[in-house]
Amino acid sequence: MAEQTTSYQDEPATRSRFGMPAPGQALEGPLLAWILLAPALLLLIVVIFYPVAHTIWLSFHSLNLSEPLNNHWIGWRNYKNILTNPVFGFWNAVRFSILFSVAVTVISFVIGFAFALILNERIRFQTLWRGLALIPWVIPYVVVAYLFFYMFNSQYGIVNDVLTSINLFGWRPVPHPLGWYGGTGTLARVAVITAAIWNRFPFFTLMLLAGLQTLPQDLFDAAKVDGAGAFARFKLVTLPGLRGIIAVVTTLSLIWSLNEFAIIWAMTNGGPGVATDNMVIHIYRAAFIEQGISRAATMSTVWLLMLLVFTYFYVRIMEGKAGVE
Amino acid sequence: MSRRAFTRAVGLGLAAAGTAGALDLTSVAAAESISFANWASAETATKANIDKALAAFAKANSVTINNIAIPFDQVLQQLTTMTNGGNPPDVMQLSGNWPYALGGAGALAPLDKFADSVPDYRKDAFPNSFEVGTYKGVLYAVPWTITPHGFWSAKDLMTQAGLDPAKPPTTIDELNSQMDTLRAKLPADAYPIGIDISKTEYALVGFWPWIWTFGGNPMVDDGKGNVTINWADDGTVAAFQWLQDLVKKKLTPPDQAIKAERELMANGKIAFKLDGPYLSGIFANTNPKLSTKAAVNEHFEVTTTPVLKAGNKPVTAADIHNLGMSSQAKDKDLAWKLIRFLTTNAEVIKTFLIPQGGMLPIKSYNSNAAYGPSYADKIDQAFINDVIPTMRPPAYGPRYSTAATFIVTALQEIAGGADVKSRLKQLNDAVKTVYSS
Repeated sequence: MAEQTTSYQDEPATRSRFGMPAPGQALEGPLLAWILLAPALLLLIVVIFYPVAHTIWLSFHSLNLSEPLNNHWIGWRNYKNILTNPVFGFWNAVRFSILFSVAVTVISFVIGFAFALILNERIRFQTLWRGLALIPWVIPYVVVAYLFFYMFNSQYGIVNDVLTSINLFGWRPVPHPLGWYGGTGTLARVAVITAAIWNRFPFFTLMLLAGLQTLPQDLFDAAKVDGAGAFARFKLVTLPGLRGIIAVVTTLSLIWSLNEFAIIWAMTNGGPGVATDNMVIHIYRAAFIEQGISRAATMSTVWLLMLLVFTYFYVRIMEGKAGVE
Repeated sequence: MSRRAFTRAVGLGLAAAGTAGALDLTSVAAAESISFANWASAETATKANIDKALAAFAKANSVTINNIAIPFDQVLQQLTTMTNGGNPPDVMQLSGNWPYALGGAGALAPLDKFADSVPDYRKDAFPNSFEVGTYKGVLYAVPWTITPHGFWSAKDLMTQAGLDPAKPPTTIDELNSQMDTLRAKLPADAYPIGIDISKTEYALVGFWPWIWTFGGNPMVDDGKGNVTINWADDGTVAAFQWLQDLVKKKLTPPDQAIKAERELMANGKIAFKLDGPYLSGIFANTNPKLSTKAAVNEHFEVTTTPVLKAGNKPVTAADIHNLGMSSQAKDKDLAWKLIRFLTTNAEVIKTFLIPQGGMLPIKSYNSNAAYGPSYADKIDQAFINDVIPTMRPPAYGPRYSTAATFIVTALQEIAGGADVKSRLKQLNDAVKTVYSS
């Protein structure tokens, strides 16, 4: 260490007045750091910052690919249009995005937690069950979407087959096949949310199971000695012990669900009407089907801001958790 | 790292990049090539045949062909992106509004000069087949296959319901009456009629004939690109009310897209449907019992769209497949040569166009000695003599595709039970916003 310090102190004498080393001298210090960081920074600028900046720039223009030559600066008009004119369906997409995300996250969490608690017990073939529970999570989104698309198909789907075959002493709750992708859209919402839950709950199972295995057995034993029942142990030991993990996984799930595309697009295209139109699908349709690039850029910018606010709270939660620990 | 080593590394990198660039330039200059974007290559049923046709052109002209396969529902999006990115295909297969959307955006080359250089080219064509490739008086796409929707009826289901299969409905009243009979006699999983209620632009192609039949004229183009919009006119309201009633009375599947409905019809689950002449081929691929044209003719009948009142003229949408040329094509003469080859070459016609099921773009070809026998059956003759003459172009234009997404959204909501008049009024405002923005 002493030798290195001496060598470093000697070096300035050989450097040029611009801080560049003389020929044959090694590059060190801030210059070397910038040179080494430059490719990564360049990549970040090209891949992330430039597209975001260009999207914001486009949002103040009138670019529509059906008339690309008629592109000019229009100020805040796109923002005013999407935020105030119901024709553009922005707030409908926000509403469904929130409904979808909350429903998928809450229900997946409950199911995933239940599975985690079961798989945390000493049961036969424990490893096998744990492996099987992960299957829905490893199946690609599009495959999940088509699987459920056909299951809910009104003509030949298994869901209608099962529902119409229910016969309770002559009472048939569903006498005719249901049009899952038609009507007012309520059933379509149920279908896409169900598919997403099936795909998502193993994530909760995996993460919560890992958390459960880190909880000290002593606490459970002490609670038992103090007379706590199973529910009390769950409420007073398990839940507080998993609070940090629960905060992380639910937040991640909310963000993923807010950006869900494949399952909804493959199952309903956002229909019927706009019943399952979430923000990502709404933006995709505006950009690539309606060719309204600037309108899509505007919605993307607003959505980005909304997600940034959400992420801010996510980071605050994480910082809070770190402080506790 | 020493400065010398750093400089050496940068020098080597630049040298390598330069060499690669030089090699790339060499390869570009090596052979003349032409690119062709189409969905025929993206579909299993037609891929092998279009590949053969393109190989024949490449061989005859000593060129290489870059065959770009794009799924049907992504064609406009992909072509727009490629064009705006400066890398459009030289020749492209188009349909519906796409020649207007791309032509209006300056992505397509005017073809009038080329088309007019061929004697009687426009004269020997079906009515309106050139019009659906013309925007503001400029021809942007020429017809390739003529594929309007005719009224298909399933004879077996009609017989099963006690109806005369030789007398498909000719008026809306007859249609409604026959659908009620079919509903009463058919099992619950079979439907009297199939209406595409998907959230796709193509669903509108299938619904335009019904709107016009009920007397609706919600969008009218004056030929100069000016569109008059009224989605709340009486005829349009009546057509959408009829659609809602069909769903309520379980006369049509509530949530199926056209592909699913074709499969249902092939398997005896749908009695009536508006669809193109290529449906024969789809039936053949779906149901082995319908593997020949004779079998399809035995089980199905095709007529024109039923009319609102006796004496009215039947109508259908001018839904054809056409060919366009990019305005950025470097060798436009070669591009035109490919277009002519694809529309007139005997091998292309025999190996691709006839098996595909559409009518040939040169009208006289459909009845000449070489190809006429392929179109001699009753269904094809019905298309040639009865259905095609009723073709009418919708008010296509650069904003049409944007408007179409609002229209099919309303179509789905009305089919699902939304109040017809208020929803159409809302649609009217939306479409006017699209055209005024």
